[in-house]
Amino acid sequence: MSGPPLLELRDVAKHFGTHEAVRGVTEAFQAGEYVCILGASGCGKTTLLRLIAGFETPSRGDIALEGQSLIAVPPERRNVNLVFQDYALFPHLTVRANVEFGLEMRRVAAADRARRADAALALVDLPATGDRFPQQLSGGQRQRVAVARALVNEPAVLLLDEPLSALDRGLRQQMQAELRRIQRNVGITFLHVTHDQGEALSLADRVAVMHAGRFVQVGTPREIYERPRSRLVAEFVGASNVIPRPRLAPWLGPSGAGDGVTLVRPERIGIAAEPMEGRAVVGTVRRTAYFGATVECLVDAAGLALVVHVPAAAAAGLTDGAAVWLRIAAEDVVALAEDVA
Amino acid sequence: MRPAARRALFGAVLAFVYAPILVVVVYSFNDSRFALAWQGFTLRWYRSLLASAEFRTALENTLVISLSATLLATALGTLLAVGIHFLRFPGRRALQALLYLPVVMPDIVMAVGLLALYVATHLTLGRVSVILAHVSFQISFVALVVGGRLQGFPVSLVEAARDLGAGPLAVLRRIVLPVIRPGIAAGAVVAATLSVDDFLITYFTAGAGASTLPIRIYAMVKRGVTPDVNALATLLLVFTIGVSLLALRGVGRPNRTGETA
Amino acid sequence: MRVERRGRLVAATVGPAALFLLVFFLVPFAVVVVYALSPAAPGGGVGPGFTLEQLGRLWNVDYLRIVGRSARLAAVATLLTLAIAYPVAWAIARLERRRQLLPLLVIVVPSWINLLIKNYAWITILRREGLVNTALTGLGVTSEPLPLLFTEGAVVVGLVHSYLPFMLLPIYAALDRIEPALIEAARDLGATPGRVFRRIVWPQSLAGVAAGCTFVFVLAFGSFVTPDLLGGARGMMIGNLIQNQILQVRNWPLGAALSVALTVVVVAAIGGALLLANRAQRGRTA
Ligand SMILES: Nc1ncnc2c1ncn2[C@@H]1O[C@H](COP(=O)(O)OP(=O)(O)OP(=O)(O)O)[C@@H](O)[C@H]1O
Ligand SMILES: [Mg+2]
Repeated sequence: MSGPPLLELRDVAKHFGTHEAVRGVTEAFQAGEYVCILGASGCGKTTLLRLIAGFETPSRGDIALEGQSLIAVPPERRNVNLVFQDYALFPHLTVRANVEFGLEMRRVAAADRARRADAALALVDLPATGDRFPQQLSGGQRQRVAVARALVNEPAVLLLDEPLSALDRGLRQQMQAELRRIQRNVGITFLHVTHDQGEALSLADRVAVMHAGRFVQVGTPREIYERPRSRLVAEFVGASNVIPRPRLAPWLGPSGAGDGVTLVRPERIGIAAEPMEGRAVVGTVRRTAYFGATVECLVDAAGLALVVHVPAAAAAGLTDGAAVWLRIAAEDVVALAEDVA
Repeated sequence: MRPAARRALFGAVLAFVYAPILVVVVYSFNDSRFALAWQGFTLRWYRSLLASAEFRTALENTLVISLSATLLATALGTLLAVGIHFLRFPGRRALQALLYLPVVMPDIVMAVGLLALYVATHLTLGRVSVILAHVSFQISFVALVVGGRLQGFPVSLVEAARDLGAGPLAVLRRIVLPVIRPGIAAGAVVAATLSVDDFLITYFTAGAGASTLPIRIYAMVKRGVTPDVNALATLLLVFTIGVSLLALRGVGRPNRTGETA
Repeated sequence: MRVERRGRLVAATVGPAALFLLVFFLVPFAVVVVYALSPAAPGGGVGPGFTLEQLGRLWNVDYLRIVGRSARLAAVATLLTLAIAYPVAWAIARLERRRQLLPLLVIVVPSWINLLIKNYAWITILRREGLVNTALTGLGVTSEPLPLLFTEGAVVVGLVHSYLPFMLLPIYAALDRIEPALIEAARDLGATPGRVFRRIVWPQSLAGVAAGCTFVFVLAFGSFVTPDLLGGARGMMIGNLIQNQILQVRNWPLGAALSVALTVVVVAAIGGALLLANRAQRGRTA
């Protein structure tokens, strides 16, 4: 992506007392991007969004929107909107009044307000609920209202703090698709915080993996998944076999082995119940677990305990205690950097 | 506790608490000025009470004073509670502690202090001095009741409103006040009943001109037991119990958004 | 810039009430303290200068007797209220939850009745021509009406009647928090009902008992109306003495000194109760 960045974070840090919640984040976000910020609980995701929204003042660094520093701008005058984790719908206002609230604050005329609120409610697929109160809606509907209430203001950036965490699994997957559709539709930059790696990988144009107050890797979902830079990212995103490189010698030969730590994704390991040609190593299935589309096998081979994923259709003969042959190709071995603390 | 023992206990306490009050109410309808024996039902004590100029003045004073004082105290106390809840500032804890003082301070001490202040500043005693005196103890009760209601107020609602472009005044008017309205109403009712019921502080700060219903009762009681005291007492009793019961229902009732208040 | 804005918000919300409380609560009390340290002017009111004379006069025998009576009557009233309220609170707390509401309401309603009315009611009952004396003479139990009104006993009855809800509610709240399973477990382990009460119920209700006793003692000790209406000259308490000094004798400094003394006792009682409650709390969590 190119062009001047829409939103820029320059060495943004925030500490509460002695605790550093955000420790110097530098990143630029482009117009129209869908970015997921992925990280474990307590790593500073919410704090980062609150810094951008204006509810916290950075201890250091700068935040700029369309080239203008936001530091001295109070939240009500920032052209960004936040979808709160608990939605924060106003309980005493109807759905329509909730959606119109931001326009009313900007003194948009009543007729215009109504038109835009209708459009926003239609966008989130919630027509004809305008006269209800938030308490009369289901969790998924409240979520949509929260998104409509923020989007109707046409912010430059929409911030979403774990917007789907309060929903059950099925609804969450449906809403993921909805969010993506809505974002495509309006073309607004979405900054979506989540601790669910599946959600991040399936939704985002780019994923920023956050750990202990820092962005440890930013890239496309494919890059993050296939080329994680460090063990930390590798283990956070997807199931992983993290193996010291010398231990791979049975597969790669002494020349292919070397120093450092490597990653091999479970679905990249070839497995068969019969001997294979090429450099296959024999092992024993210790345990299998059935996941519907795939079967997960825990295999002891060459002194390693490896996790292997096989399409269920190809899993015949992979029973507990069975002898199996494993193959690992050099191009599926990813070198990992040591993590900085 | 066995049911029989429990019933006996409840019965005895009930009799102790309510019998004396019942006597007053019953005798307010007794058609005799002196006799203890029942002489027949009458409303004449109520009629003579309502006809008396002193009663009317006292009633008018009570209404004017408690309405004005309650309005003022509700406004001041609500703002105070909101400020203490949402803002952090030096002296906040001290202010919070100060709120409890008027609640525990003996009435007689507050009465003496206010009178001393009024005398020292040459403020003429009358309705105004009583209103100011009432506000000085009402504020605390309003702030404590409203503050209790604010305990469960999600900060995210305030942040959401600001995020949508609302300045501090709009947040207060459009979000905070509407959401805590049941608490404000409850605080106002508590303040109003305290004002209507207050005797001692009013007695010290009213001067000759601003006697209220409790002061009327006191003056009449000092003169002796008469049926019109019974009638006046019964009226005041019905009023305060009625208002309090209404307020209790209002507080316990879910508001229109379906959320329990 | 943000800080300045916040300052304005604080001034706009907290400012008016804080100012009001300063002028109409703190300043009056400060005036009382200053008066307590001033000499009395000959014609009534306050003279110039500073003196400890008024505070010294508090140790006069007559005043001490009144202060002593205030403490005694308040203490007796507190204990009697406790003796009545505790069993009732216990009986209510052991009811099924939905059956507790009515008895609680019945207990709370009298606290909404004007104090004057509650005390006046006892006049109609206790006076010479009142219900009790009429009944006693009518039945021939006594030939002469008994002097019931204007006694210390009448004051105590009035205080107990007036302040019962303030004892009952905190005790009920404490008892209501005790898990029924705890009592059942104690019974299961072989404790007799008496031991269950001593070892399980009473210790856990202590915070409520302390709160109730503090409320009632403080209210009773500083009362004016009840001793005025039911005690007369023989039942005079410190509140009546203050009123008398200020409004009749016009000895402001002495009235102010008595007010300060009353405040000190009240604050000490509340502070002591809070301290005890804190210690009990810590003892439990430690
Ligand atoms: N106002 C605050 N005062 C003190 N510490 C805070 C404050 N807000 C956040 N923290 C701390 O900063 C760290 C990061 O918090 P943050 O809420 O940003 O985490 P998060 O990544 O959003 O976690 P989660 O996934 O659990 O929501 C936490 O350790 C938290 O305790
Ligand atoms: Mg968070």
